[in-house]
Amino acid sequence: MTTPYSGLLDHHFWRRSIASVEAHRIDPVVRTRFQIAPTDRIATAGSCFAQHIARRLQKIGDYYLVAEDGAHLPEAERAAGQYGLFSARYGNIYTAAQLWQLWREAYGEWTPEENAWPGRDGGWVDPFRPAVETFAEREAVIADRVAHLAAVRGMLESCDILVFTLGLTEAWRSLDDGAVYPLAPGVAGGAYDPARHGSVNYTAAEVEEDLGRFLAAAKQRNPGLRVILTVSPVPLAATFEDRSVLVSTTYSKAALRVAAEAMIRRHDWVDYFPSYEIITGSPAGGLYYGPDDREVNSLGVAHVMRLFERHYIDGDVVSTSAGITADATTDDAVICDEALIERWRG
Amino acid sequence: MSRRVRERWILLSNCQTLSLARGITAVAETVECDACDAWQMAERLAEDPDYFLRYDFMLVLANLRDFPGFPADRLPPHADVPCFSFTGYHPDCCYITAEGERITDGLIGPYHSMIALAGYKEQIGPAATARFFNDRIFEQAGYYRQWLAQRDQMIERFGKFGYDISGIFRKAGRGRSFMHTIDHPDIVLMTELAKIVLRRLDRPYREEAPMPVDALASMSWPVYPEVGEQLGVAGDYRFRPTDQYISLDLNEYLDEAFASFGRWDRSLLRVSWQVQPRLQHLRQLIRGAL
Repeated sequence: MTTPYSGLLDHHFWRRSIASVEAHRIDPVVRTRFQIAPTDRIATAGSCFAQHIARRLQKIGDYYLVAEDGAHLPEAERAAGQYGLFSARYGNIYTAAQLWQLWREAYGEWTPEENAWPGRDGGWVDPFRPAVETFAEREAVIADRVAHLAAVRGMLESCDILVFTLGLTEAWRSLDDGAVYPLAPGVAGGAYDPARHGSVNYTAAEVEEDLGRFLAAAKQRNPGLRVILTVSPVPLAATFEDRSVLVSTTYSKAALRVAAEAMIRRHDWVDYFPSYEIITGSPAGGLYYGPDDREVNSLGVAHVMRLFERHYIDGDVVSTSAGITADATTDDAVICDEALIERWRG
Repeated sequence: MSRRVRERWILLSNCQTLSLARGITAVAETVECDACDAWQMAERLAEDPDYFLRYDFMLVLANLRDFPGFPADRLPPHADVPCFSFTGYHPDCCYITAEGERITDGLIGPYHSMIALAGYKEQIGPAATARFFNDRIFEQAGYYRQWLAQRDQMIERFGKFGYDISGIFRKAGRGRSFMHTIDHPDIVLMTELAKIVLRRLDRPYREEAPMPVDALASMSWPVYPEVGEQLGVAGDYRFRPTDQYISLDLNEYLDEAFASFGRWDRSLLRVSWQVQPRLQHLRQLIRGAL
């Protein structure tokens, strides 16, 4: 007796591809839609997990595109100013709404009413990347943003592949002009005013709409663009919904995963890489999280990037690193702005 | 209520004897298993020619029966059990001989670093040798390919005797190394192996049971972080001397290893023929990098 499942390959079946495979050898990537060629330039953006991808890309070859590199600054200042953390100095882009807003601002389709916030400890910060740098003068914030937006345009138009990691559905926005912030006003700058700021928790359809608009617009500007979407496996640091942060996390990740699925069904030049499943899936059993059960440890990053290299990179890859990491604890070099919410909650 | 009468088994094996016997006793419903190291066999038989015949059943290390004088006629019904060895977590760990004799008085007993030996033979000193403990060298020396190859080899080795150990790696190796050294499995692995032996011999066992004391935990080789990353295991470079609880870092270990090797001319230090090519490859990699 045959069934529709008769003759399917092992990856269709849990017992054959998951339950019988050692945890570190689990590989949920069946195929990729494209390969990364040695000449490709890869840009990264998204939540803090995308930083891991960016850092590993820099170690495995010359793929990583940095359009805003701070070459005019001494090296120590570049790191402090988050140059190279992502392909441009936009900091963490947690929501699809934030990504679409960045695109519209970069191409002059939208201008925020508020373009600088007082810093938490003095000075001025950019409301749309408040943790990137504190400037002495308000005008400096505005001037740097002009340069930043030019770098964003350059990056979007010159990259061959964009890796975007979807992080959150919850965000804060201006009730005046709808501007979406990466962090709530007051966390890393600005001041929370209930009359002017409101929280939002996007639906899967809203994420899909913003992401879809961004992808369509970016492809129009850069016809050769290919995109790899991932969902961050890092749980929410905090939720503004009146429920457990754990419950909000499952909602948020599910909505993001649905939106990513919609994009790969819509576009054959968009791929989904299952780093979320590798880290959070029951086969890993929590092995890939740090002591706080939130931060992804180096073992998890290693597993994700091992599969990323295996499936996407053309030819033999010789690691240029002299020892990728020394321990399995939380990677302190990853900057998670969202963690500031917890720090300043009092 | 009196204690249930159990079958009396004895296991005749190598350094893994005590752990496997304890594991069998811990999980078996109807068996109690004693242990006898292979080198004690002749002595026991000399004292009591029927020593082993007093047991109901015997497990014997698979290759022991090939030894001259193996007393097959003085044993109870018995079955063979192969030895479990596995270099997947410790691909740099090896035995070294000097003038044909194993060097057993190293920091971690008879276990040594092959990269340390390669550095010693290339006369680059411990500090320079430390720089070769890195991802590139490990990859080029095939260290990352050991785990899977060794797993398949062990499945085949045990399969020849009717033991299906294919599931043991997933269970005992989840986020951890199940080996203390290249031929000292930990008690978790040995207890899982005990269940497989009992299942093969149609004896009932419990899936969950109090874990016995680990008889092989007195010495351990570190899982290097770069190797651990490939295997989902948190690694470190902490070398714990035998029977001690302090641990030395890589530089301290190398200082001591070089001092130990220094007792011999470098040409006299050898590894077994099976891993000779790897040592030569490491020496070439070091020469190429200098």
